Amino acid sequence: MHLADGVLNLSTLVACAALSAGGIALGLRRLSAQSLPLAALFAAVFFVVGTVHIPIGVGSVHLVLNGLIGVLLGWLAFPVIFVALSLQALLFSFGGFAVLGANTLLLAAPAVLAHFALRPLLGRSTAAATELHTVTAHRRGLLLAGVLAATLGIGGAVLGAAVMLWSTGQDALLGLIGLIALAQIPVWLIDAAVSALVIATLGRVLPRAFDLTRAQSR
Amino acid sequence: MSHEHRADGRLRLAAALLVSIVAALSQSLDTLSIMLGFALLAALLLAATRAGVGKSLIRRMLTVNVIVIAIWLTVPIDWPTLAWHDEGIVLATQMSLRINVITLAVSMLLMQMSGIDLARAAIALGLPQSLGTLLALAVRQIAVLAETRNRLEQAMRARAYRARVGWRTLRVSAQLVAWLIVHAIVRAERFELGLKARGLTATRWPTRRSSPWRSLPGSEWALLCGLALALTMAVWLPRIWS
Repeated sequence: MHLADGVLNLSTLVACAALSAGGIALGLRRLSAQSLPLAALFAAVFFVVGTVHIPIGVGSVHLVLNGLIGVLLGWLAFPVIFVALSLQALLFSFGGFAVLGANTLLLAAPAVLAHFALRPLLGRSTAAATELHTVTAHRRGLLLAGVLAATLGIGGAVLGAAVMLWSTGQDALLGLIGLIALAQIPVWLIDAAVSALVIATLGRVLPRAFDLTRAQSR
Repeated sequence: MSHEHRADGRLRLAAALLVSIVAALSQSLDTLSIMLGFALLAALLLAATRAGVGKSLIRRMLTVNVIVIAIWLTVPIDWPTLAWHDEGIVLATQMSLRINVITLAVSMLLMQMSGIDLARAAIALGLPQSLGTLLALAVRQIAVLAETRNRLEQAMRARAYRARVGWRTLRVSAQLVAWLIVHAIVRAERFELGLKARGLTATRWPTRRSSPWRSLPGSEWALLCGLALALTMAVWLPRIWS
């Protein structure tokens, strides 16, 4: 999900760039020599996943998965998403450079929110599996975490886009806000299903994926 | 065109940011129309002199104009009554012109710039070194992960998988994403061990320095000056006419 260059007015662009810069600075404070390759690889994952298209009817939607990236990376999601969006703007003209701050903010802020909101759920699920061996409950918890990550990620991005467009054109852009929200419904449904299955798979094959942020702060 | 004949990345990025900011600032339809006129003229000249440029620009413009269609369907029209209102028409025109000016100008200015060149140019223009290093590393890892993705997709196709509307497609796509993440984490761990073994602990990795500004040839400064002149004309001509 990207806002195109030229849609937002200058004051909105400046405010979003300042907020994004703050988020990126917080992310960079958590970046060490050890976590730098991990961050680069996740930027690559975010970029590559954005080119995975899922057919729906006559068209297709591409995955966003900002909530999933946020759950795994926390504040590092800000620099990671910034980097991936810069490369998408350079190589495909998706979004743009003037609107990079706004696009980073609308995808990364909900990602960080998803991280802090869902950490307890992921922690409980992994703990339950090791202590009680309740595999079904464990899997259900992970699936729920995936659905919630996508809901927060896409929902937050739509809300962010709505606020940015509202501050640019007030009532005149209500129709556009509605259209964008409507167009994101299939993206949300597909992101929710894919995030849920990805988190369940990671829980089964690589549970330490949920401890990446703890490893960063070591 | 060889790397040596391409204008300096810093100048191209600075020029792209300048066009984006002036277009974002401009409210005048005349100014935006003149800017689009200049950009189209430059695009025609570029397409006439370099093979493949025209097609690439047209593809990018078609992609970005999907949002322009969405704007024209929602901003100037009151949907229940289908009445057009003047304020909406002006706003939609402004946005359409801005989107096309910025996309066209930025696409031309940053054409054939690699991710590594973008990272170097951005660091030289003030991007934090660690963020630039992350950008440069991500470019390399994209190539690696894209290759991994191709391998996984080849294996999926060998098992007769075809993407269709349905639950199976979602399950297989989720598997693909999960394995990409697993590959990324395992690779990052190997990378980390390699760094530790070499005693590297800094996030400010050395990158190739850009050449000093004063050593840039006059022709490259002419690009920036020409662009600044075109932007000044676009801003001032409508004022002189009125």
